[in-house]
Amino acid sequence: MRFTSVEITNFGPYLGKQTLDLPVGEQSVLLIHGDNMSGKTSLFNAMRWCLYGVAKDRAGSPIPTKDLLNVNAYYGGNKFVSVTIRMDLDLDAGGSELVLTRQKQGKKGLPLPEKEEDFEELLFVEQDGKVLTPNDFSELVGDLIPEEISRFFLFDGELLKEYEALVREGGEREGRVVRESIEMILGLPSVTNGRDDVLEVKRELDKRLGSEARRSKKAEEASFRLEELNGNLDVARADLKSLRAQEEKASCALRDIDENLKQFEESREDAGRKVEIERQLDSVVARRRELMKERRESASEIWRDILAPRIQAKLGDLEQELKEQSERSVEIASLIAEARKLEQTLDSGMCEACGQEIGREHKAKASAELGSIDRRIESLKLSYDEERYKSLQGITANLRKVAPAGVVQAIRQLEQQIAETRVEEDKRIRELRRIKERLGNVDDADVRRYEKQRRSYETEIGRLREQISVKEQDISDLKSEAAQQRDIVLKNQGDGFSQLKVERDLVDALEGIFDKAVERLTDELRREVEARATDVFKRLTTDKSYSGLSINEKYGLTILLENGEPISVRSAGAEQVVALSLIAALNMLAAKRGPVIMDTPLGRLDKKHRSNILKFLPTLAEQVVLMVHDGEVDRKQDLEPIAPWVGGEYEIHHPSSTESQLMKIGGLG
Amino acid sequence: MGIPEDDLTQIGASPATRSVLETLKEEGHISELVDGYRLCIAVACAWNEQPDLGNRKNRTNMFGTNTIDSSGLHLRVALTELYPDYANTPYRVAESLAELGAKIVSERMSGTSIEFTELVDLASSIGMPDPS
Repeated sequence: MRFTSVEITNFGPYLGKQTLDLPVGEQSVLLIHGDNMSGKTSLFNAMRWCLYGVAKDRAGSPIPTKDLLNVNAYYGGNKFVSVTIRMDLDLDAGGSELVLTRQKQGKKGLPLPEKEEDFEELLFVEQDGKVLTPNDFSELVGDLIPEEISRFFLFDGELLKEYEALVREGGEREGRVVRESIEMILGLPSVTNGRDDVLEVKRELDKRLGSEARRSKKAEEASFRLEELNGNLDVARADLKSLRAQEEKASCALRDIDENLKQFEESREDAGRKVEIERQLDSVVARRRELMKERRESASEIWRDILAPRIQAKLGDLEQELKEQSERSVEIASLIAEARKLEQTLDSGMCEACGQEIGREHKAKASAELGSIDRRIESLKLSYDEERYKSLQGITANLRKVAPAGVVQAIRQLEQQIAETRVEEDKRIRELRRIKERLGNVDDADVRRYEKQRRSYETEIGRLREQISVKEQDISDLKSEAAQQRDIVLKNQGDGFSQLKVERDLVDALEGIFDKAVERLTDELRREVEARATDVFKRLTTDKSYSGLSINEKYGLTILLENGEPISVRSAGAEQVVALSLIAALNMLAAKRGPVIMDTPLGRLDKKHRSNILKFLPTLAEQVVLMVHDGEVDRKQDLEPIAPWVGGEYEIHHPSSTESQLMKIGGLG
Repeated sequence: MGIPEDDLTQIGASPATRSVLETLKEEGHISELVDGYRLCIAVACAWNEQPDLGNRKNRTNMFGTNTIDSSGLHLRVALTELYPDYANTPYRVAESLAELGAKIVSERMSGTSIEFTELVDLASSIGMPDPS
């Protein structure tokens, strides 16, 4: 099963619809680059949310729907969040496409839905174009990637914490969930279920044997005893089941208490975080106030910039009029000067240029020309207003003084920064609200009560385990006596029993086979996991003094030195390499296959380990999605060796704190 | 009611306009009420609003005209030229425009915030010649 695309709408920082296409085939590694806080974990959470309806914050607590919704979408009226995963169930065998969509939207009539009940959930399932019912959603997901084993496909830092419990002394309870997940992914339940079925058949056969056996005195007595023993066995098994259930219930309660105590632990972290966020909030508010002050100072003159378009338009008209008046004024002055010259020539009768007397013909011509000039002057004076001309000069000069203040650019920049600080402020206020809500429930008396309950449950679990042990011994004794009585019954009966005896022997043998199978399979799986994990570990580790890994009952792996001794303390980086080795081994041996999606898995590693792991990743699963930031890997140096396996590459652009975009930067055609 | 021929020396605002100005100041958008007053006049002017000089109902004096137009009487010049029909009473024009501008500013406010650059951009688009 492989994912072919993931569509997310208004999820976390992703505003609107964004699509992530995943490569399949030989180049099946998808790289997603993004800075811290850009939305890598949100993308990871979007996939988890679509499949299981839960997105988790860093503390592992579910994120409320309102906080999942993109801030801009929420306040912009798009109060819905949606994620669609398209998957290819079996491409090689002809293909079967499954499309899963989970959507949550604010209920109609609620302008600002806040609580979970203010949202309604819609599920859409489509298989090969055929629309299925919403009820099929969880069934299909449970079949393909059960939530219990999802930690091995959707791999984040949380798994590392869980994984550490597998190798820690006293980490049985925390590690139990992971151990069960491991056994589930490896397919162990198929064998244990088979053993339970055989036991059922065996009980039925004993009943039939009993009724047949009553035909002979000795056999009858043995048969009655056998029946009695079987009855006792049933009771003992029921008691054992009940004790185990009680132990499980008490363990669950203890886990819940531990979880609650963990929350109190987180509360202490929350208190520190609250102080830090309050400090950040104060700083953001102070910054916004400073920006507002700067804007206020510039804004006293903004009226000029607002007025500027009208002033400019008016000035344009007036300047055109002024230009026309000016041209007329110049022309009139020029014509008057010309006319004066002609008048002087006519009055003196002498040519101004040569000083000679002018003839009659020239006089007439000059006179006509003078007349024409006078007419032109009169005509120009009709459209020329000297007073208006002078007034226009004053008006335009005045209007030019009402020049734009030129503060727009500065204010624009300030307003952009103010908007950003508002978003920052809003984010911190929301986070503070969440922390305060969590802290609001914290009470020292609760902590004391939980600790008391914890001690009480631990005693109870100890007592139950003792009883379970006694009961298991009882059952073993009863089974042994029942076997003796069964022999007596069988020895004292005729041929009528042969068929039943054969069946009973067969079932006994089967039971033994299943018992051994469970034991052997668990051992083999453990050995296989150990061997595969060791192979991978040797490829990943840079320390040649390590000879391999040793697995424990809980599937926890310990690093062995060359002399076979386990190392007592290992670094966070070594922890990560060992955890990756286990995950790789499980993926190789898993009964269920799926894409492996890793969120920032290389953070604790040095350069050489990082390089080893990156080279190894393409072989980890049929499809690998790797979310990294530039501080974690060097794009050129670290990623070049895996380039042949990379079928797609995205970058998360983060233009503002409330908006991220998936940008395809390579591969996928 | 006829159009008054004498101009104002004290310029005022209605309670509604005063409230808009006070909100702008309280929310930190302007330093002084007079900055908001001038802003409202400019907005109404940019929006090509026409003053109604016959109506001064409910207005109480807020500023002297020399306060509103302290820097070289530029507002007076601008209004005289932009509203030549009321060239003799530019401060009456200013007062009427302030009322109209305050309504526009109030409508453009989102909650208690306002973006001045949005007003500038809108003023520019109104001032652009109609493409048709």
